[in-house]
Amino acid sequence: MIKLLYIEDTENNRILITRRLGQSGYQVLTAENAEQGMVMARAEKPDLILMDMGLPEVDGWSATRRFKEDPTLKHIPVIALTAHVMHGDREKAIAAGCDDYDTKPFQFARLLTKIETLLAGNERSRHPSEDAKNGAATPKSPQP
Amino acid sequence: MKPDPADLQKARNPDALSSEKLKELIGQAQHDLRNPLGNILGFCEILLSQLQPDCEKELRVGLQAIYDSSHKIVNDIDWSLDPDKSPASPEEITSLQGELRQRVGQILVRIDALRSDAAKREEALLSADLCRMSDSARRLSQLIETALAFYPKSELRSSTGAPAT
Repeated sequence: MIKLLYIEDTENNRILITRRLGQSGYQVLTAENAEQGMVMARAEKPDLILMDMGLPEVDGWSATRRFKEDPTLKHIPVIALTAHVMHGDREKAIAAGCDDYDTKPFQFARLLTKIETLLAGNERSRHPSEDAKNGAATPKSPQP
Repeated sequence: MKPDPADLQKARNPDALSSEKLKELIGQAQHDLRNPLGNILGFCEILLSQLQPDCEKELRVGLQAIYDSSHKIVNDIDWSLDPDKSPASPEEITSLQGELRQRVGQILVRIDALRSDAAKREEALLSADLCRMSDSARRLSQLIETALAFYPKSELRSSTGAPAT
C-alpha cells in the first residue's frame, strides 16, 4: 500500500485527509509538527509527503528545506498545502523544494491527481531501466 | 500566525501602515477565515459521499445547504480579501462581516439541528463529525470579529443591524 505522510497541526485537517485519502486506498500517517514529521519520515520512509506550510515553530517552508537537505529523504516528493492563496505563494513553495502546491479548502479530485502524478514520476526516476523495459508504464496506484 | 499588536495599532491609522504590511495582514485574514471553512466543506463532502442515495433525505438536504453556503462564503472572502487586489474599504469590510455573521449563524443553526437529530438516532460517528463541523463554524464566528480587527472601524451598520465592530 502506498504510504503518505501528512504534516499538519490542525486536527480536523488531519482527520479529513486521513479519511478521504484512506477511502482512495492510501495509507496516511500523520505528524503534528515538523520535528515529529522528520522523525516519522526517517522511520517510515513514506512515498510522498503532504506538508502544511503554516506549521507552528518550524514552518512548512523551513521543514521542506530540511527534508530536501537530508540525503535519505530528499527523493520523497513533497506537496505544499496551504490556505494562503497569495500571488507568489506557489513559487515560494517550489523555491523551498516542494514538488507541487495545492490550496485549502481541499479539492480532493485535484489533490489525488497531483499525488498520482508525483508518485508516477518519482517511480520512473528511481527505476528508469525498468520503466524502459515496461514501455514507460505508470505504477499501480489506488483508485480515486 | 497572529498579527503583531503593534501592526494592528498602526493599521487603525492607514497612513502608518505600508501597503506591503496591509497586504500581508489581508492575506493572513483570508488564510485564517478559509481554514475553518475548509473543515466544514471537507466534513460535508465526506458525509455526503457516505449517504445512501435514497435515504436520509433531510440529512442530505441539510448537508448540501451547509456545503453550498460555506462554498459561497469562501468565494466572497476570496473576492473581498484578495491580497493581490486593491484593499477593500473599511465600509466594504464592515458589510462583509455583517454578511458573514448572518450566514455563519445560519450554518450553525443547520449543523446543530442535524446534530440534535443524529443524537436522537444515536448515530455516534455522524454526531462526532457534526460536532467537528460545529466547532469549526464557532471558530469561524470568532474569526469574523478578530481576523479583520486591523481594519479601521467603519460608521456603517452591518446588514444584521448590529453596530460595526
